[in-house]
Amino acid sequence: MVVLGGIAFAQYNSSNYKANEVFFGAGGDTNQSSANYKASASAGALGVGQTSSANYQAYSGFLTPNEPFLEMVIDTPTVDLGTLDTSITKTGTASFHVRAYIDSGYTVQTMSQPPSYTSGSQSHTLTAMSTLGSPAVGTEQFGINLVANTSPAGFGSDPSPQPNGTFANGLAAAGYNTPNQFKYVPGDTIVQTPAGSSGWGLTNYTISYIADTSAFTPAGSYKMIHDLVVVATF
Amino acid sequence: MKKRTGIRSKFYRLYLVAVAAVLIAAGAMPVFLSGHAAAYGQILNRSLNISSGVPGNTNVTYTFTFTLHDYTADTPPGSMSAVQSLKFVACTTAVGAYPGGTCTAPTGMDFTSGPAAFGSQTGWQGATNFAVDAVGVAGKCVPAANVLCAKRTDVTAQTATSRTISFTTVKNPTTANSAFYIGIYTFSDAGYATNVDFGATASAVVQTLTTNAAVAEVLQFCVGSTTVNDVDSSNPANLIANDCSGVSGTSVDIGTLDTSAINISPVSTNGGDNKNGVAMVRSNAGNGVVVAYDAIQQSGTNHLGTLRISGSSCDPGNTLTDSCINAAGAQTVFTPGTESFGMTVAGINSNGTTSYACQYGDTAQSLAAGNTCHMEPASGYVGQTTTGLDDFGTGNGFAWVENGTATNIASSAASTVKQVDDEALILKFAATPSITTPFGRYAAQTDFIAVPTY
Repeated sequence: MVVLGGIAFAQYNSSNYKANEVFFGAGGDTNQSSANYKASASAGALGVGQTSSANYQAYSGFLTPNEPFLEMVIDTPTVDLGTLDTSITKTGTASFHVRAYIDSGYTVQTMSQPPSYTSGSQSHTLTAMSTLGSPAVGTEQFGINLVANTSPAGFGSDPSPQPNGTFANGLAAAGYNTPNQFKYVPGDTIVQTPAGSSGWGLTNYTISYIADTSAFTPAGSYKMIHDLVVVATF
Repeated sequence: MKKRTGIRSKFYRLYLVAVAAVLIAAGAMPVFLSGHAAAYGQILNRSLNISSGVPGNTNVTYTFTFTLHDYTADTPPGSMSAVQSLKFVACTTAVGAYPGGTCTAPTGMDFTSGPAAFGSQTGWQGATNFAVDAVGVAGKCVPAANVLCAKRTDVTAQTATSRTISFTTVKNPTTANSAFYIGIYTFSDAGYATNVDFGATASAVVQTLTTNAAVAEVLQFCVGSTTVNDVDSSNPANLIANDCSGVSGTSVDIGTLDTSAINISPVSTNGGDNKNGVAMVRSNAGNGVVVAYDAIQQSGTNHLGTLRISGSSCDPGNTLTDSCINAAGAQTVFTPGTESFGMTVAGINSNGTTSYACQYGDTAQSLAAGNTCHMEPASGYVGQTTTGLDDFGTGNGFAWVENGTATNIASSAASTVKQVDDEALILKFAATPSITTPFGRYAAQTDFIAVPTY
């Protein structure tokens, strides 16, 4: 019986061999691909998935991560809310995804200040919705959430684990997970994996933006480089 | 027993040799792996928080949070050691950051260009802070674009508790939508020699997500007349109009002039229409809006822009016998019977302002002097007292530029917030004749201009 202490890599290697995603038995393929798709698959495995208690968590089955992995990609590089109007709330969406194989979950934080403009020596930043609330027409404000909304329009989507919730577990964070309610605080966590669970698999996220303007919001072109930071804990 | 001969026998011997080799390798494996595992403890609950995920951003702060391996919980229990030096190695893969891994540095990432500097630390045992080591130790930790060395002299034994350490002015990798991994190595000595713990963290820089919006330029500017002669915004009766759609009137009549008095609008006697002039402005110009006037040049000869009988011939200089009432020029206090014509901004009426509350001073109405509105009368057109002590009235006298030159009478450019919501300038006109001023119907015509700067 071999008992390993300290670091134990799920990937096996020595100076003479290396094996990634070791698979024993029939029904598994860690790299299925064609011109149009690529996938890892297993079949006939019992107890595939994650299990945990207060003191441990583990993955079983044929699909397990071979090393810490993290990926975050912005899928929509630009979102344009158009010309803001004192009589209607303007909306827009942008999407990104996080793919992770890690131990203790991940979060995504929004780091940017709201959209701003500068003209000469003057600049102005749209007022951020510091508390969760509904859009108010005629009041200058900027907010986001990460769920499907029906008001002020049908827009946005709930986080979408791929292909379903069995394989990924990203969620919209508190404050950003209430339909038709918006908020924006720079530095806030907008995405998280469930407490006590792992960040696992691929989840697609849609950011829903809203903006309103008042009668004396300074005219100009407003821009925000939306700085999103993923923080993974291993 | 069955005897194997020839080729079958050779294959069987090879098979036995192979089996023996596998068994030998399997027997040796625990030695190799346990030796490797014993060299480092696993850092737990480790994460890397970067202050910006924008590719290539400089001045980024990298904050590492982690818990050291708990040797006291090992079997048999060990002891915790000091941590006096740290090595951070950034790679494109997690395995590359592992001890002995082949590391490819993330493109563009740079610990040295800033160069990275110690930011802060929390949760460490021992009072001495780490500092970035720009020299390092050859063969142990050599600073590079993807390698950061830090050290301190503090032999305090650590505990298996969470701690943080941050470094500022790091340059992010430049490849958009790419993850990078940073291995954290702890050493009990200050020379990167005795490695205690290791763990890899990850972060990512992502393609820039740009959110755009536009706010259209707004200007509503109107001029008219009003019977309102006050700026007390708490009195609803002082509402001139909610916005420009409610402003009307094209003239102000200050009645028949008399040498014994100064006719100051509103004049309700001797033919006066009891009205002031008003100029209301709404603008979302971020750099403010300026209101100016210019005297329309009427027909006749000389002094075409002052209060005059249209078409008449006036003297070149300021005489008291022609059909042109002498323009005040710069602001001056009139004397009854000394021919003069002028205008001033008596105050700012904000009863139509809804986006914010403001008040122009009116000490006669027990309103403190000063002006919290965004528009401010220009120097020379402040009706009473001075800027900052604004008071509704005309105590400073009147001014009038008769040659048609555009002259500023108010602006929001000096206000902290320069946008204006339906603030109304109350314009007071005044005139007095001399005893030789010819009788007749006198008029002055004025253009008003608003110039917003967006």
